[in-house]
This record gives sequence, C-alpha cells and structure tokens, in this order.
Amino acid sequence: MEQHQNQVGHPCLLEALTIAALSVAALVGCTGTLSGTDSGNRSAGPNQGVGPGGVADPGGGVAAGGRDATGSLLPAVGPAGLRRLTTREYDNTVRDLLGDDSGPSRQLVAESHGAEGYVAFQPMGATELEQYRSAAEAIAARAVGQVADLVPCASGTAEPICTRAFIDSFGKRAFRRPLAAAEATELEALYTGVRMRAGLSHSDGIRVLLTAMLQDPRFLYQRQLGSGAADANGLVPLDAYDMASRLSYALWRTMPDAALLEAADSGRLGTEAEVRAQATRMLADPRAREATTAWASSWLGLERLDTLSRPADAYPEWTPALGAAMRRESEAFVASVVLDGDAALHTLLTAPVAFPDAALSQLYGVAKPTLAGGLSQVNLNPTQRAGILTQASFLTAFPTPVLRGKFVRERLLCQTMPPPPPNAQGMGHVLADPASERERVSAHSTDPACAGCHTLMDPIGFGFLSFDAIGKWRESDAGRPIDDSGALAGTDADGSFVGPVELAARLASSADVRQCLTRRWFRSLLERAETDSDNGSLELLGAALEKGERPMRDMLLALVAAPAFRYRHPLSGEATP
Amino acid sequence: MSKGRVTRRDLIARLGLGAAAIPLLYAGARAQSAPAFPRRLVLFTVPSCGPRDLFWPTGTETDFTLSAMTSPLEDLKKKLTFVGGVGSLSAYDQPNFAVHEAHCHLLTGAQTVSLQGANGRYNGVGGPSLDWTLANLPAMSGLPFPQLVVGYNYEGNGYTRAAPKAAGQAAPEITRRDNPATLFDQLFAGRPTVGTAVDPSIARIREERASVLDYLTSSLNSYKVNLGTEDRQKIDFHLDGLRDLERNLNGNATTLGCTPGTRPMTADFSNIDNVPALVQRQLDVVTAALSCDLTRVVTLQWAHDGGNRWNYPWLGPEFKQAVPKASDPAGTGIISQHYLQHQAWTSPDLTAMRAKLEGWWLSQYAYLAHKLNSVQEGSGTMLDNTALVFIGAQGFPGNHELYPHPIIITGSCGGFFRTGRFVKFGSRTDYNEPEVTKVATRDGLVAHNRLLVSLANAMGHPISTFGMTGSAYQGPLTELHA
Repeated sequence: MEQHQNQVGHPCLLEALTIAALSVAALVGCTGTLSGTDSGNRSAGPNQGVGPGGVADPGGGVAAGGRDATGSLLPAVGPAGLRRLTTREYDNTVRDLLGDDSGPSRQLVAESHGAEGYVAFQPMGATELEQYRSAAEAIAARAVGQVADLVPCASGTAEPICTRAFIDSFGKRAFRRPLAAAEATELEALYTGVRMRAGLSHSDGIRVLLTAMLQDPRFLYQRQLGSGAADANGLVPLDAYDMASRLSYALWRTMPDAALLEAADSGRLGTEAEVRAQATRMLADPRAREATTAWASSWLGLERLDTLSRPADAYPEWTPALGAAMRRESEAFVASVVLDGDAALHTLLTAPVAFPDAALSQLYGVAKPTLAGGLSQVNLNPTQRAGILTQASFLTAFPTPVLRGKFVRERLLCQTMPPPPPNAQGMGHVLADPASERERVSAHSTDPACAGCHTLMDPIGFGFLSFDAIGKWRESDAGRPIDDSGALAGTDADGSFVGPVELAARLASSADVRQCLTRRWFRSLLERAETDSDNGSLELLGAALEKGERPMRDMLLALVAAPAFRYRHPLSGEATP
Repeated sequence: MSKGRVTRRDLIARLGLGAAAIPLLYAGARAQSAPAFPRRLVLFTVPSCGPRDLFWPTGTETDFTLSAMTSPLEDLKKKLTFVGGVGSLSAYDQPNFAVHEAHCHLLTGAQTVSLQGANGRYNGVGGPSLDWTLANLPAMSGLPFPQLVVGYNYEGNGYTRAAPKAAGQAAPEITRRDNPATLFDQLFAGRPTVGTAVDPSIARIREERASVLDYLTSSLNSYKVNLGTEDRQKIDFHLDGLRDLERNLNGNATTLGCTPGTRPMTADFSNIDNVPALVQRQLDVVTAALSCDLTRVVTLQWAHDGGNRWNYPWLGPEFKQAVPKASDPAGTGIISQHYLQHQAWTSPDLTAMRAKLEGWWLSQYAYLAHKLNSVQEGSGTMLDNTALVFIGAQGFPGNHELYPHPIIITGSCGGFFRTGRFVKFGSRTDYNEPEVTKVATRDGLVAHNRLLVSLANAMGHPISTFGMTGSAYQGPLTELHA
C-alpha cells in the first residue's frame, strides 16, 4: 500500500477549521504563476438568492478600473448592502444604550470573518431569530429593574405620556436616528396593546417595548440611506444619521455617541472637514481600540485562537488561557502602533516587541512582566523576532510553513491561492523517519502535481521554520538544525532571505504589501469587499499610507473622508426617493 | 399573511378569549390529517460510514449476514433494507460541482449554485431538500413542527448543512442547540396535556411574544420598502423566520394527546465526554416528538464533512492521539473524523479507528431504531410506520467519492417498503472488498435522486422526480417498494 507522508500543512487537514477555507470552489491548480489578485467581489457573478450574499457591483457607467478614457479616476463608490451588527457591535451597543455590559451576544451565533477580512451577510433564520429574541428578553428584563431611571416620569404625569417621551428619546438612540411620528405611534400601540390584552404593569409594558426594539431591524441592521437625489456621477451623499452610524461602527464598533447624533441633528456631518474632525475626535477616544482590534482579528485570524487545541504531549504548555493571552497581546500591539505609536507599517511588521502575560513571557523567554495597569511592552530578541508575524498569535493560528506562506500570499499580498485538489491527501512520497518539517514540505517541489502551488507558498513559509506550532523558538527539528532560508517571488520585494527577521524586512519594504493592507483596512472598516468602483478611494488611502506622518492613522482619516465612506451608490431595485 | 395573523389575534382578543383558546383553531387540521397511524420519515445523516467492506452485509438479497458494524441491528434484521449501488450522480453532472458539497447535496439532489460566503464564493444548495419539501405539504400544515432538524456538530456554512430549504438558505429549524433539555422545552414546555389548564404565566409570555412578533413583522415590512432588491430579499428571509417562530408559538399551544416523558437532565455538554449522553437524550426527545405526532419529518445530522474539530475522545485512548507527524509535522491536530476519512485506508490501525468511530454513529442509529420499535402502534410499532433512513454523504471519503452511499432503511413506512433485504442496484460487486485509493467508476450506479423520489412516495407525495431532472434521475426505485 502506498504510503504518503508528506501531506504537510494541508489546509484541508490541518487548520482546525474551516469549513470556510474548504469552501473555495475553484478546482484549478497552480501553474507556478499567480492566478491574479484577490479581488473581493470585483469579479463576483450575480448574487444568487438571499444566501450569505455580497452585493453585485452595479457598475453603472463605471469604466474598468474606475477610470475614464484618459486614465483619470472616476468618482465612484462600490455598493454597500444591508449588514447586521456583528456580535461585538451588538454587545457594545447594548452596553452604551442601557449600561448593560453583560456581553449578551454569548448566546448568539457568532459571525466569522472570512479570509478576505470582512463579515459577509448571514441570513437571519428562525434559529438566529430565536436567539436574538431570547437575548432581547433577558436584556429588557434586566433593564426594567430600574424602570424609574429608564423612563423618568414626574409624579402626576400619566405613564403613557412618559412612555411616549421615552419612545422618542430612547428610540432615537436605539435606531440611531429620530423616529418618524408613525414609527413612534406603532411602538406606543405595542405598549398599550400588551398592557390591555395581557394585563401588564407599566414596567412590564416597557419591558416588552424594549424587547421589541432590540429585535427591530432598525436596531439589528445597518443600512445606508442617501439624502437627496443622485449627482451627475450617480452618487448620493450619505444621510447625516447614517454617516454618524458609519463613523461610530467603523471607528468604535458601537452606536453613535451624543456628540455624533448632535452633529447629525445640526447637519454638521456633510463636509469632508466635518467628518474628519469627528473622526479625529473619535480616534483619541479609548473606544477607537475597537477598530484596530477588529482589523487585527480579521487580518490575523485571531478568532481561531479561541477554539484551538494542541496535543498535550507535544505542547504541554498549551492552554486555552495561553491562546487568549496571545490574542490580547497582538490586539494590544496593533493598537499601540496604530493609535499611540508612529502608526508606521514598518513598525507593525518589524518591531521586536511583545505584550505578554506571565505564561506568554515564558514562551518568549523574557522576564515575567509586572501586570499592574494592564499589559505593557517588552523587548524581544531582535535576531529572532520582528513584528506581528513573529508574535505567538500568528504563528499559532497559522502553525505550518505552508499555512504561513499562504497567509503572506493571501493576506499581505492580496493574491489568490487556489484550494488543494480533492485528492491531495492521496498524493505522497515515502520519507524515512525522522524527517524534519523542511524535508517533508520540500517533497512538494519534487512532485509536479504539488509544485505548481506549493512553490508559491512553501519558500516563504520556510522563513518561519524556527518557530514551532505555538510560536516558540527552536534550534532543531527532528534532530536536524533548522534551515530557515527561503525566497520571495512574484512581488516587488523579491529575493532570498534567511530567517524571519530578513523576511519581515522584505515585506515591510514592499509597496505591494502596503497596497494590500489598504484594502484589508477598507474591508474591515466598511465590512464589505471593495470593488473596482472603489479604486479612487483606495488610492487616497494608499497615498496616506505612503506619505502620512503617522501613516496608518492618517489612512483611517483618509478613509472616512473618501467617497466610499461619504457617498453611496443606489442599489439595483431601490425605490427612488 | 401577516394581515391574517393579526386579524386572528385581534378577533380572539375582541371575543375576550385568552391564548388558551388558540388550540381550538388547530384541532380541525389535525383531526383531518390523522389516519390510524401516521407515516414518518426520519433521515439520519452522517459524513460517511465505512470502510465499505466492514459496513455492507455479505450474501444475497434475502439471505445475508450483517457485518460487525451493523450487528447492533441484528434483532431488527427483518425490518432492514440495505440499499447498495446508489450514488450522488447528480452532484457530478453539473458545472458548479466541487467535492466538498456532499452534505448539502445529499437531500436536495439539485444543481448547486455559486454563493458568496464569508471566505469567498462556495458552491451551495441550489434547491429545496426532501425534508423541507415534505414538511411543506398541505397534509403537514396542521402539525406543530412540520419539520424538525436536530443534530450535533453540524453548524457550518450552507454547504455543510443537510436540510436546506432553497438556494443558500438554511432549514427552518427549531433548534440548533445541542442541549436535549432545551430541545425538550422547545417541543413540550408549556404545552397543555389533555384535561389540564394552561399555566397563566406561560400564556402571558406567549401573548407578549405574539404581540412583539406582530410589531416586528409590521416594522420589517416598512423597513424594506426603500431597499434594493437583494436587501429586500434579506428582509424577506427574516420575515420567513418570524413566521416560523410564530408557528412554533402556536404549535406550543396545541394540546398534547400523549405524555412526552420526562425532561432530560441537563449536563455540561461543552464537556466532550458527555456527547454520547447528549446524543441519546436527543434521540429520546425525538422519539417522544414523533410518538406525540408533533412532527412527522425529522432530519438528524451528525457532524459534517469538513473541519478537524470533531474529535471522539470517549471512544478510547487512540482517539486522544495527535495526528501522526507524517501528515502533520508540526503536531498540531488531534485525530478527527475528517482525518480518518482521508487517511484511514493507508493503515490497518487507522482503518480500525474509522470503523470504530463511524460504527459508533451506526450504534446510535440502532439505538433510535430500537426506541421507535418500542412504541406500540396498533398491532405493530412506530418503527413499522417509519422510514428511518441511515445515509452517509460520501462513499469512499479518501477520494471524496459521493458514491455509493452507505444506506439502510429501517422500517417499512406503513408497508410501503419491502424489508428484510440487501438490494444491490447496478453492476457493482465490490461491496465486501477493501477500499482502494484509485478513483472508482460511477458506471453501474443509480442516482440517489431516485431514492429521494421513493421516500417522497412512501410519505404520500406522488412525485416522479426530485432535484435534478433528466432520464438518469427520474422515477422511484420501485425494486424497494412492497
């Protein structure tokens, strides 16, 4: 019977995962050259049905690449469809709305960030709706514990009068825009109806009202309305309240605060300068950490650290708490670079620092930190570690040379790697035991059926061979000294390198990487794929990242000021106002 | 639709009747559709069950010997039909097909469609599934839960779910939760039994929820007015879901004509060692739901075809091992069903593990068969009035081959199937030979669409095609019928 012992790093087999990674449909192999860039849904066909859907680019009048015949960028914006609050946004919003910081989304089905870095729309079926109902009922029951604080009512004023005032004021915050009179009346009717029909008290009536509002589409979904008619380019400026929501969910991952709603009330979110001013204020707020955390999570796949396991015999130091510490560390690192530090991509990719807790400091072989006042920065051995890709979180979430190489291709260079052929498991070569990881992975290059794709991934992944599957430095593997030399090809930073520090330096110097990361930020902040129509906006981001004083922070400000953020393209089938 | 619902509730309110009166509205439908004993379809789906030489019986159509894996069914042998030579041929005969869509194709037999998922596009369900189709027949409309979908570890993308209702849409489930006590509550809690009054606090919760559902329906309908086509469809799907909740709410007000048994104990089901207890308690609750005629169509999906999270440490120390270095040099994984599906054929030890693991699911199937057989119905048992179908999504998973499926139908579905047989369709003769890595031919197999047609016919749905159309997929497998 044929043995096949080199099925290394096969995503199908090794990531604890991934329904989703398996799902890429194409069965094409690689030819040793790249099959093009990862294009979000640029090439998406017509979206079928309601399913987990993106939005097709209507492309109305937009030339290929978003440029006109003379090569000038056309003002254009890709379509943004309805989206549901993520579980993180749900928790934050409930916290800011009702002071309830119990994290009620624990009982909801969590969405997952795809490899592309945004949350695709997942439909709400009965199962999901039942979970949202149960969460809403629990939140509302807690909230009416202090009903007099929630719905103030001066003595002598009738409860229904106070309730109507509550519906208007609370409704504006819950739905993130003022309620139309008819909307308020419907909520009032619900309150009155249950009080009469089910014989409920005022407090119980408010509870039912809250339960309904927390399941209302205006609470659960984000939609983008325009204000007024489309301009000559077919674009409509975003409605002021939707602009407030877009800002707050992009930069804070929660509902707009009073200042944002006030700005919307008084029409002070219309100009680029007004939007920038709000964003600058918001980036100085601690809540801005939510934006960098969401971005880092989706880019680095940090979610998977929550459910990962490692065999105890091979990795006795592995615990779920260690995984959580890895995640926290990288979130803290990204926030410190982008919001507090020089915000340079170079720093993100090369700084030999970490934010470990006690267990993680042991893994890095550095002194135990004092944890008073939270995680603090420690310096790592600069000959071994350089930036985010040498932190334990990434090295654990992507534990093999193949997965690490694939990560660089897909998430740093925005290139598309096809999935392995279905019979990849059945291909194989006999290697004498013990063989090192490098020897096993190298077997790919001797088989033409494997080599086409693996020559694109493996030589990059080799650069990380000094790290084991939980990111610990090692000097040998299977009794052989580590050979972590590799090569980068098909990029603007091509060349050979030895070890992770040299690889990181190459990646940090690459314009391709910078360009890819603008797209990753775009997707994370807008929770959608970019389309060709967004090229103009992306170029503004790119310019900020290239020339900004604090490049990634400047890029965030450039994004909120960009057309893709401030305008919308009417969607197919939409009623015109 | 929402208009009708509001009117009904308003009417009840105006007449001064409480929620307790709602059951009366359903009594007619149930009485009308109640033959002596209803026929039921229970679909028990697993990713695969093998290797094949350890699954299939040896012998002829009527004189066969069960394999060790299927031996827990020995005492029910006269009620079994092994169905060989049936494959998901329709999965191959289409442009979109890729091998990972086994489970979502299993009960649809339809053309797959390219859908946008969180990680890019994937091939998803392109048509309704058999269970959903049957649940939506008029005859089922009076049942509190026309379709029940239960299972363990089957969460996932559209392409890993066995019970979709249409393109990209998940089934209307009443539960995706693993806790059997929760399932029990959803089916039975607050349901009045004959001769008892409705608990007033439960009636109040029901009234509150009904009012909120009405409000939300109205709110969603106004919300969608200004949306584009695709966004409107998202809201329509949301509205569908609300209707399912409404139906469950009303279903829960239906008076029970039976006693559901005891509520299962709760346990820490995040502890993987409790999974065997969890699965059996789920099967107990499903048996109760069927015997109380709350539902007649049940899909039980156990695990799915992707991912390495599904480990089975309770089966023995070998299931706590790391994936061998040969396949996982970094030593990151623990042996999973997925790993065994791919690798089992490469060594006798792994083959034995796969047989043990997949045989364990078969023993759970046998447990359910015996439970159904323990419920007396007239001169027979509930099992006799049921088609309890065991089906693996893949034939030889080492090559992602969706053929031939391991299939057992237990019970005759009220005399529709002729049981006690090992029926081999087509020309394949390798049932008892070890699996090999060479891609096997699909020649000489029959399309599983035809099995789906037979099952629909058994449930009184007189169709001749299901899913993909064309002569190769058409017509029931009459050889199975009595």
